[in-house]
Amino acid sequence: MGAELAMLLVFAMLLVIGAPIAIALAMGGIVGIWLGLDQMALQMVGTNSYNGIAKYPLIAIPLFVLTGMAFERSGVAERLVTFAQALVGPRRGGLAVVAILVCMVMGGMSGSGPADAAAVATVMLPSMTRAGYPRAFSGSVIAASASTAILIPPSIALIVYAVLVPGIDLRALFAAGLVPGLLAGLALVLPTMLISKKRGFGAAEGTVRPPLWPAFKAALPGLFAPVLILGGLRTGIFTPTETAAVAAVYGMAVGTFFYRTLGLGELYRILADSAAVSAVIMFIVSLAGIFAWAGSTLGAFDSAAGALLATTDNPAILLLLIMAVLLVAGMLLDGISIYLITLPLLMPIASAMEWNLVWFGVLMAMNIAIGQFTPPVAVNLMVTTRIAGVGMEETLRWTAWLVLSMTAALLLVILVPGLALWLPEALGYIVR
Amino acid sequence: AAEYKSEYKVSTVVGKPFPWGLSAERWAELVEERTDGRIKMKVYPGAQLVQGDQTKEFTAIRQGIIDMAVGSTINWSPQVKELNLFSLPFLMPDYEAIDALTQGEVGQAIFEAIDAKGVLPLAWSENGFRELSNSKHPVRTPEDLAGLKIRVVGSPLYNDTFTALGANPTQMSWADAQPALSTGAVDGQENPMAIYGAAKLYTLGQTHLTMWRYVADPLVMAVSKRVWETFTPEDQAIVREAAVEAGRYGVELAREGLTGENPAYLEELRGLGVEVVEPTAEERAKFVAATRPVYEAWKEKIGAELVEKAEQAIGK
Amino acid sequence: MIGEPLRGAERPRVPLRLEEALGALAMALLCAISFANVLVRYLTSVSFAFTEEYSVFLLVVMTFAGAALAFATDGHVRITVLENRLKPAGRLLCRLLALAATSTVLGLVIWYGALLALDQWEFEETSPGLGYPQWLYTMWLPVLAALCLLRAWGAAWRGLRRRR
Ligand code: NA
Ligand code: NA
Repeated sequence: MGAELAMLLVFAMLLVIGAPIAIALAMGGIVGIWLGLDQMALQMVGTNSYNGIAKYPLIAIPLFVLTGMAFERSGVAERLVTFAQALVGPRRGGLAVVAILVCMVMGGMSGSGPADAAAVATVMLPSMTRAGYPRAFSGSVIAASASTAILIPPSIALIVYAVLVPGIDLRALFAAGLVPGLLAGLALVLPTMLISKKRGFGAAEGTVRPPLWPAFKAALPGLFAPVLILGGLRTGIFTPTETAAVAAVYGMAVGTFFYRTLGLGELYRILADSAAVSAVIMFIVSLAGIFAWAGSTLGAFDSAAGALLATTDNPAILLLLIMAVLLVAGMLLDGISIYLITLPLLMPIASAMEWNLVWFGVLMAMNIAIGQFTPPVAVNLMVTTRIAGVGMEETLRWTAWLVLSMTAALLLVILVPGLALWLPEALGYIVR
Repeated sequence: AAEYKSEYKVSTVVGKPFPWGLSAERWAELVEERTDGRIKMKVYPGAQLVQGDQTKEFTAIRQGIIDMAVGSTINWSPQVKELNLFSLPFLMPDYEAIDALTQGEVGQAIFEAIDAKGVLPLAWSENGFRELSNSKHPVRTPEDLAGLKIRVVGSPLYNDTFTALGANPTQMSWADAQPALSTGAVDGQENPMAIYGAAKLYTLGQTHLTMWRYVADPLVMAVSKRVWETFTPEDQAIVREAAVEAGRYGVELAREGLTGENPAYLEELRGLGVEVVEPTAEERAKFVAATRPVYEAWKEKIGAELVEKAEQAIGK
Repeated sequence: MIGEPLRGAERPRVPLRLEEALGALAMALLCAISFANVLVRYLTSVSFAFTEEYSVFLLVVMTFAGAALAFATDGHVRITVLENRLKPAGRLLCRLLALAATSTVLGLVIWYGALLALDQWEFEETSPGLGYPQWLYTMWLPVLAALCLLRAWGAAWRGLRRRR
């Protein structure tokens, strides 16, 4: 038990003092291996930090980040905003609702929450602020709705889940994420409208409604991206990894040839910046693997899973317990770490309980989505508060409501698994 | 001798209920029982100890990250080039040929090669012949393969073989391969029957099966030399004997229902609508002729002496 | 999650353009190879089977080059709640502890990564897909991890100087 405890303590201590999460995880794992196994085993640090990321299916991650950024920089978000405004029309809270809708559509092009948040916050924060929304509120709403990017396909979180859980069809997972993703986004509309009405946010919103048809035409190339991604997967023209490449090339082509907003310099920035963003994610995948390796070879995951199973044999209570743990984990960790740490522990439980693994993957992704805007570690809020120039603490009074409503959406998917499983089954994927 | 570890990590690529995983489990059970619990072995399937990259398993045993393994000759061939012998196209016509190699002089020579690369091999088990399936039409001769997009295991020898057969070999991870097969982005694949059955590839349109026995994948049960040296001679004998027994058990399981005497599994597949082609001697000769240049080129790379020894052993 | 833009005085002496360009190049090649794969599969009957090995290697290069960039620009995901509440002395202690952990982890990645590459060189291990010497790929892990370590130290040094 000593090694397992030391592993957790070192990790927690480093996490709290502000070491990079990847480093905290790796150091915890190293201490665990050093105390609990022999020194020979430490050599896995070399092998596994390489093998953990040298996996072909993971290539889809940087490519979907690239897709999102290509669309962001080509100015598709502005055109989506105009189109959404034409749909929603001028009303109290209208702009906030537009922000949610645009986040969801952008989520259909990007696989990453922070990328989505950056795209929408850059475009919408100035106009929302002019219209009388407090910056902290706008930042919260955008951060929360951008988290649907990891539910609405494509999704980096679901790619990682499919890589870690053998025998899962990524296309089935992507399809399963769509309805819960839309549900989670729509769940945010209610509190956003209510708060805006009550507090008088958006009082200065214009009364002009952009004409629908031109707005639609301008937004069309962007709106086609989710169609391309889902359609390519559905018809089997592309494998998931190829879909990512095709979508990225399409995004850059739209910016270069259609909107004519991207030149060579911009293309270089897109490549460099999406590489930088992907690297931060992949670095966690690489080093968190050390923690996961230590946990499973020390037997820590087995005993923790055993302890969890021993507390109750009621599947419903067990599931709620797991969801609660994941929600708390989501406050402290980023999504990729959560998958790498908890999956070795949760998979035996999930198969013992005979839960559908596609459904379970979507539930985990919903938890992780909520975690993306719950402080202190909230990758989406980090992005939006930086753009808004406000402190993360100021957002707490708003995010609390948004967390609550997205948790309600999560509960709904727990109670009605068909919300996730209907679409992949209807599309004929193997759902198990 | 140094102190025993509380647990020895055994790596495999697939776990229960595959013959591969079962032979590893059986090995662990026998050892624990016969050493009165002095040696506890735990099986880690999915090559999870090397983050799922089975081609890095061998190096990890040599380094002492993994204590023991039941490993595939294909996966270990990047480190031990002699193991490519079993991937030489159409070297082994039947199960007797596999046994003639593994249980004879050739097997001994290969074990010496593995030993020279820093890992101690103890016994043989089996993953089976790799058979061909596709979604287009029955494949009886190389002409039938022309232009078919076949997902192959990622290795230069396999690429060469399928190129020589006129197919279009495509390399992709197994995770990507299954969707690619089901949607027709790729026409076919080659794998041991255990994988074909477990992945229910016939439900993904892979209903044309060619039992051509073009290569086989024997498994090697091996132990880290560092670990081996810590065992008492008595325990070494137990671990070795248990490996031999468990390996034999694995071979039996791998062949169940697929042999001439007992074709039950093939019948079951036929009942599921799979068209099973068993090439005749003349048809097989055409495959052999088409792949001969690849065979000759790789004979040199693997070591002509070893290959000739193998040809003799099978010819007998 | 890209780090905050660095102000003039804080710029590292070795320009970050190095890692940036490496990352951009890896991303461009990854995208081009994967896209070409689709084209080749549909338009020709040529085998384009070798690409997986290159792609996976490019992913490793991108990850560690980008991680180095993130060490230089404070771009890694981390919790700053405690740090923001501490007095300068406490903050310094936290930073030093985190730096020690970073150095240990990266040091071990460098050490064992180099051992692995050496081992693969000594035993003439070949790459599974193409049959190249495997150490040609693996050696970039210790090299790029060393780059990460230097960037982490550089960022720490700049942080200390700013404090004075
Ligand atoms: Na998405
Ligand atoms: Na969080």
